[in-house]
Amino acid sequence: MTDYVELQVLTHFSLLRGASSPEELFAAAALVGYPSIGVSDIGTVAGVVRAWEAQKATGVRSIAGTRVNMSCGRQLLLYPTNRPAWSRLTRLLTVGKKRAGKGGCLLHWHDLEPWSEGMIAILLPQEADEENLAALADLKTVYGRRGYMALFQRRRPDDAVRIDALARQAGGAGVRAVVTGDVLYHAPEARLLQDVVTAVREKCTVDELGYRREVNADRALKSPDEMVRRFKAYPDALRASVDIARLCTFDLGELAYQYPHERLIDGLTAQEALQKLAEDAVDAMFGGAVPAAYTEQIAHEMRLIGELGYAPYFLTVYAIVREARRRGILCQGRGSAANSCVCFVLGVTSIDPIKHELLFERFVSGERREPPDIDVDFEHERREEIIQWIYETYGRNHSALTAVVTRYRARGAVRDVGKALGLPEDLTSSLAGQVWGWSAEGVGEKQVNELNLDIGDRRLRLTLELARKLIGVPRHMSQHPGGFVLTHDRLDDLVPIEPAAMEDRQIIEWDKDDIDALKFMKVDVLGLGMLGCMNRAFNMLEVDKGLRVGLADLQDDDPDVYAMISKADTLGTFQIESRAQMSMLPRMKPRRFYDLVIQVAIVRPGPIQGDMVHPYLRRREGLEKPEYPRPELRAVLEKTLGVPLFQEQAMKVAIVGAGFTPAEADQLRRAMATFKFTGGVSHFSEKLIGGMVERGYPREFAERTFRQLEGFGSYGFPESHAASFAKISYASSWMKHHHPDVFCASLMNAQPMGFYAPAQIVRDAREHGVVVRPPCVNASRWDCTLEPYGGRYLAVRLGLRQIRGLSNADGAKIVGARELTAFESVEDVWRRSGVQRAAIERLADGDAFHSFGADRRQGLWKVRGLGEAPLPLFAAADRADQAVSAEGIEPDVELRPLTDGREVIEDYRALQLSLRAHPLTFVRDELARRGVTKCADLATIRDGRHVEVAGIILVRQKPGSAKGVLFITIEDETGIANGILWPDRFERQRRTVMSASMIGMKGRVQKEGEVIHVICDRIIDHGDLLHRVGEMSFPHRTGRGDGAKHAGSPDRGDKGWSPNPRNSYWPPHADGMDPEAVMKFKSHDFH
Amino acid sequence: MITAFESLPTTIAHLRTIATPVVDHRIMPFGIPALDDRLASRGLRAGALHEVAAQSCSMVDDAAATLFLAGIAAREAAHAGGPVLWVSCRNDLYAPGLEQAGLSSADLIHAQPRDDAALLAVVEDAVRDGTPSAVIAEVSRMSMVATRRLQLVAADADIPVLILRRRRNRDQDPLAEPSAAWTRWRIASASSERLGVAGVGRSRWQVEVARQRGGEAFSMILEGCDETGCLAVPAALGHRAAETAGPARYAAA
Amino acid sequence: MPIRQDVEGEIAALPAHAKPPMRELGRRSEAANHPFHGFAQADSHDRVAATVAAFHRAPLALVGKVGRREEVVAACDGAAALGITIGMAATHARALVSDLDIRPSEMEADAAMLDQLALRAVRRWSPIAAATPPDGLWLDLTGCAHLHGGEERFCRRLRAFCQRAGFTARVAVADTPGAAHAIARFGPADIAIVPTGRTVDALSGLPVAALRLAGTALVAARKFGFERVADLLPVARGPLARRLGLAAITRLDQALGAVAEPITPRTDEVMPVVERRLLEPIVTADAIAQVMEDLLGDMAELLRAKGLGVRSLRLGGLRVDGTEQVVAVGTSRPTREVSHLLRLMKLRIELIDPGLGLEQFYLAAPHTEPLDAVDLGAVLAGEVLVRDPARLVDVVAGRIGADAVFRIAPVESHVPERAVMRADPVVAPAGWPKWRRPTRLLARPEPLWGVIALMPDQPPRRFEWRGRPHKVVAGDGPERIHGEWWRRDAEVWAVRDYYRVEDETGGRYWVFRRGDGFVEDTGDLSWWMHGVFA
Repeated sequence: MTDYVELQVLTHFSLLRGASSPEELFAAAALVGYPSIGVSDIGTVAGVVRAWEAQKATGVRSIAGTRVNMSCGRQLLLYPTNRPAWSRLTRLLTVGKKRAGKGGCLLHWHDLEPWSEGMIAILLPQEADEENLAALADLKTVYGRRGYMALFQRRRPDDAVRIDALARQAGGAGVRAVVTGDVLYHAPEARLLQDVVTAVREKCTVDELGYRREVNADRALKSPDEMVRRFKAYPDALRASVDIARLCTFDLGELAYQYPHERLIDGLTAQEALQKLAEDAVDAMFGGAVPAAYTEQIAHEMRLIGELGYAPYFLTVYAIVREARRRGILCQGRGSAANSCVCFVLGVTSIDPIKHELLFERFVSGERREPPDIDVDFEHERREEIIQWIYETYGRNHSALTAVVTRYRARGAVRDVGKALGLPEDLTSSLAGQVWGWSAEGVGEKQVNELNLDIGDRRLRLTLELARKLIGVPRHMSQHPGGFVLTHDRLDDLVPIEPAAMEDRQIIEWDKDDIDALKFMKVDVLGLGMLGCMNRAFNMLEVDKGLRVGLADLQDDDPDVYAMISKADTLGTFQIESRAQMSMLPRMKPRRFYDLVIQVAIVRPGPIQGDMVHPYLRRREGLEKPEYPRPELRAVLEKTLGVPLFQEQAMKVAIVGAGFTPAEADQLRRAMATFKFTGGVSHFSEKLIGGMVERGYPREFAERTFRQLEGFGSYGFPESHAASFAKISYASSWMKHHHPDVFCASLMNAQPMGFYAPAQIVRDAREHGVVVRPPCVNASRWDCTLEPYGGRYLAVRLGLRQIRGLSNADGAKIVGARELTAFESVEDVWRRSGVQRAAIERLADGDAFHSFGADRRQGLWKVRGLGEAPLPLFAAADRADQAVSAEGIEPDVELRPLTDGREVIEDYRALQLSLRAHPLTFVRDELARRGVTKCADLATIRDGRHVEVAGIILVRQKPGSAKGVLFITIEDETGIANGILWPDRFERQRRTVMSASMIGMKGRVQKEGEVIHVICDRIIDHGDLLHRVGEMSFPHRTGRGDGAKHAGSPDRGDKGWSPNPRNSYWPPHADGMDPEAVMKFKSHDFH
Repeated sequence: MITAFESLPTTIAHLRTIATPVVDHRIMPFGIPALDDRLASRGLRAGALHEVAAQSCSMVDDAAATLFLAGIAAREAAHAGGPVLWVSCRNDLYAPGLEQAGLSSADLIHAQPRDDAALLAVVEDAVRDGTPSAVIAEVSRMSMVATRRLQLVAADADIPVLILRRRRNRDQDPLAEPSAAWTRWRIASASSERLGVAGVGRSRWQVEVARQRGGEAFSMILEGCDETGCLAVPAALGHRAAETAGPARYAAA
Repeated sequence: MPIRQDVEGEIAALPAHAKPPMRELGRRSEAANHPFHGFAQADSHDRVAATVAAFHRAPLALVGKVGRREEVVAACDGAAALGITIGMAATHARALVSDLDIRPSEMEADAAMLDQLALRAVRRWSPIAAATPPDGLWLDLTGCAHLHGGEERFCRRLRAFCQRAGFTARVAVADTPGAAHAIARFGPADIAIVPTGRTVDALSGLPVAALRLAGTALVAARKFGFERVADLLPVARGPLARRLGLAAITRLDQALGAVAEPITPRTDEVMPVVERRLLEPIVTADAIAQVMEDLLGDMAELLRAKGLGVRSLRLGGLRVDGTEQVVAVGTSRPTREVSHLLRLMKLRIELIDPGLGLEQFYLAAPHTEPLDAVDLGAVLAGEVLVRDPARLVDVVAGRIGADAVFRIAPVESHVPERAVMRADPVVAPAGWPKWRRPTRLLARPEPLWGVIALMPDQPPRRFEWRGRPHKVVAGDGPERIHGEWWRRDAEVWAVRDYYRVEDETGGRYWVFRRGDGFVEDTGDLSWWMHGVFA
């Protein structure tokens, strides 16, 4: 027992005030010998769960509390002594947060009283003045003997005098004084970072910070002995801190969690209800003749669910899915419990676990006793309906979204630190641009050298150093896209709730890891663009072709579909469409569903960094035999040929191979997932390698295994997620193979989504024999539609949505006005639809008037002759009279027609694609004269030959894992070609590569199976040719992702996937280039 | 050199008229009866020259004398609303310290001439200009004629001219030189009151009036300037500190 | 001015791309500000040469903020050849050309220089001349050309002058300002003279952009396939105006002369000057002072009429031997108060050497600023009027120089010696935090010897300073002041612990110890005296 306990500590969850994580603070506290410390962030308890976790690692007891800065300027530390008091604290904070709106906490003094029972309050005084005397009296009134006043040093003149006067004031008021340390960070070294976060908060540089800097910079956690020495004149105030610590017995573990009751069938318990539902469902599925395998599996699962008491959870998920189905919203469950037979028969997922041999135990283990995990993906456009339904059904006092702690990553850290240190803005943005977005390593010398900067520059060096330290510090709290916490009791008795930035949303202060740690139930209601696309496709299939198909109907492994996948003909499909996936497919040659599961999981940063891809491929191709040093590993790894590809496998390896307990294995997973490896991982590395060696594994094998596990810690995929995604991949591939017309139309309607721009999607569809027709004011609807024409497939009519700048509302008005008769002239469209002239102009830009013979230029000329908006009265008069119009009395003007090349360019400008011709067809002759090969001809050229292919740059990628290699994809009228540019070559040709819109790649052809690359020696700028096509540079638009619009749609299969706009699709700079993207080498596949 | 001052009437008769104490001079009281009562005009005459010197050549006495003047000027500046001009050939004043004696930077303009001759000219110019509410000058050598001229312009403009006489060497007493100053002061720092806790109490000075027109010389201990430039009489020595200082004590809860 | 000539030599030697662009201007005087003006101040010829050499080694681009982003606003030919274009993002430019010399553009300075050129043009070339921002000048040559040897000769001289001054210039002469503007920018030759009545021919081949159309009109024109001015000519005006906007048609008509476009000339402001001729030469100070007063009275009258106050005055006296005596005074605020100015002037009398006598005086005000009538509102409202220190400042500055009058303003730094700086004496500065600070601060802290102090945070019990021992009877502290780590490495971990101590004789001192007493990096635990309290 020490003589002092620190009770005034801010963590970095006091955003941009505290500079140390709870982990760091507790590690430091353990080191200097505190038995317990209090955590009191300003107006929040966001950090207490982390502190509670840190308590487990360090043995230092955490006392959960908060600090409230009142509207009257007084500041209090509040510590609940027991569980009921904790609820009062969370209710109090909820009051303050509701009043302040997002991110704030506004409390008045009179708010305290109703929630004061069982609460210890410590007043933080400024000066020993009248104001403080009044505060002491008020404190005494509200809290009685539980009110204290803090004594802390400020390291300013007259400190001792001030403390003495304060102590005397407190004594006079009958309030006990308690010593505190006013801690802002764990070690003196963090002072620099503290100044930086202050500067970020104040939006200035550290030089300008001046007196806004923390005046007292002596704010590191000090040892109890040191505090006792400093305050030896106040032994009682020291003892008070210990007494408070003793009084506060509340432990976060006491937050017992209760599932919400589902009232689905009266008179049955949750378990009975689930049992009944499952039996009914399986009966319905097999028409009464249920195969034994299913009956047994369901019985087995029900037993396990019963033992663990998870039935209410399954019922809740079922209720949500049932509601979605009622509304016709496509959804698909995934997660550790989702791939159970029960979920399958209830329709939560569409993966038949029996057929695909995905067994339930592997996902829910009895011993770990962790809550089951089911995420449900919905079509992202309609997810909001489900969210509001949940709020309404479960009530706003019982449901809220979890928080997402947005932490500094390398790029943001460099940007903010650079700004704080006064580096020029363009310099910091180029530095930030050099970082591969997810990097936890920060910007290093390498990147600095790449920018030709001097690493010797002091500010630059400091920036990089401090930025590295800032990585992982919370930047702000936002809402999780769909992680719901549902409780039976009031939620704000457990955790403060605050209103979210979005209307009608509320969020709790803890994120999903905190929820996990406290074993709360969470349902993830997520949006997935591809599900929307698939739903459109299924609907179109039913309406236009009369075929009724659903996700769950696609259980058979269709060999034709797999043949298509094996050819890497997967443009537009889910997950397996990226270049990295495509290059892997011909080697993987997936033949059955589980192969797809592996395919989805293997092309991920984790396995790639852990060097698992090549061993797996070698073994799959039979070049190498799987290696199982011990039989128990064979059981774990056999399905993946001895290579751990899934998170579950990694944990299992730790358990069976190195003797970890399940809880330890879980800690290992978490430790690897966190950004700052504060001593945690080395501890595990010894334990894992040591444990494996002890159990008779070769040391070399053990070390390799550890490296593999370490590699994918945070990026690894759980098997169940992979299976769920693979299902959608298969379904989309099935659609692409059997109904390319439907697939193309629904994909176009789901734009923006995926990796490819509309031009590529349309081109791919046409290559598969689909007729695509241009948008037309008399034929198109807003969405793309299918038109019969007697061919093998239906024709795809591009929708008005394809026309750039046309709003949905205007599009709908135009289609609506067409209802009875077709439009006859531009003026007719304008008058009948009643839309603004600007919208009509967009139509002209999109060449949508061709049905009445007006080309782009004429259309536009006529549009510009119209007034701003038709006056209804005159419009009526005009219609009656039909003859006289502004158009009619204007003299005819002869306009020069557009060249073919120009038409193509205008097509791209307005529609992002052209159905006329590829721009390169116009210059093919010239290219042939220059000795340039067509992209399509690469297939017939021998390996090792030197060629030049030319095209428009589609993608430039410089994946972080590929050591500076640049991948370029170009396109000509015959197809695409992939090039590789090694770093030395890149540096010399940087300018051409970065600025040209059309290039030639000169180099050696390299064939690896069906994958063809051009290993580039030289990059030639053919921009002049492109200019000739239409006397203008070629306008491309950035390929976009639905991530930009629909935050967090987990296309990438990662719940935390950050919603960055996709811009691997490089527009040429001269026209409409996003300048900020210049230095971005963002890869889609190699993150 | 052509100066306008050559033409000043400096007859004995004229000097006599201005040297005679007149009751209706504007007075700047210290606000401390114990001090004001012992000054002939119950305060400092505003339109006059006053000289202050440190008791010893030590820097601390010099600092006390400096702040004594700063306090007078601060109170006058607050009263008159004009800036104070501080003329010194040296540059070691610490403005935050002066501000704590009531003389904020917003009220203070510094002038740093090269030598004493220029310094005196600046003081005369400034007083004649009439803008400053007070002029403080740090001088080491100053002739009787110069003091007389300054006294005249000060009286004319009704602006206090406060001279800090600095020592040229250890043994020389700057107030030994003759001067036409209205009052002459010697200031030294004195021990402050001991507090019960670690810390230094309010400054105390030994304030000595070495000469005043129409009054006696005297000496007393005063507490230094507070943040408005006011001095104070030390509280009667008691045992306040011993009784109430120290931490409060409680029984363990 | 030898240095200027040197620099001009340097400029002439520069490659074209290193010279800033400047189009269509006209004047001959050497007084224009050119971009190397700053270098000309450097006293060493070598330095100038080195800078100039560095200047044209790397391709140069100027960047400025356009909206929220930094982009290239000008690029030299060398940079343009490497693909740097105007409107490109600065980062992109930097990435494209790694050794690109990127400098901030100074739009206001450019505009000021252009304005200066316009002023010279008004004075030297044509009374009707105006700047056409951002990069051009208009001169109305009507009735002036013959003064300069005809149009052609004038153009050649103009261009030669610009070259000497370091500008790239293009000159065009046409019937209308619009046409001249277009041809100077888009025409084929650096010098173009369009014969009277041939404007249409000259314009036809130029791109539509030459007509100074708004961005939207340009885009529209391009969409309809109107590439050249000739394409627009046959189209009916009504429909065209409907589609490109009336402003576009007006521009076309202005260029063709169908609509008049008067040039609003740059007005040449005249410096206020008053003069007195004396009946007979004077030599005495009194007499000179009298003349000063008279002149100041005249000047005040003149200034009041114009609503101006002077910031500087120049008095010139012509001696009988024909030489000139000049003295000048400056004021910190604009004023026309005769008594104040006279006092400032009188301080300068001793600088005037009358010689055998002065017979003529003039008083000029090179720098004036608007000065309105004094607002008496506050006075009437009975508020305590804080006296304006400007006059006092002028008086003192007149006596001992402007550098010797100052205020001490706060700098937001916890480090004591950095917390103060000299500032403009006229502006009242803000204050400092209330932490106890000494009355006098030593310029450099002085070491203390024989210090006995209890570590880590007690004030010293005794110390020796300047050879004298001090026994401490009371102390306060520490006040911990950390180094400003962002300034230099040595300060990153440095700590000063300040103590206020009182010795037995009542002296109060500000001493500090380097280091916090725990960690070695923070300081060597030596003790220092930094100041004394009153």
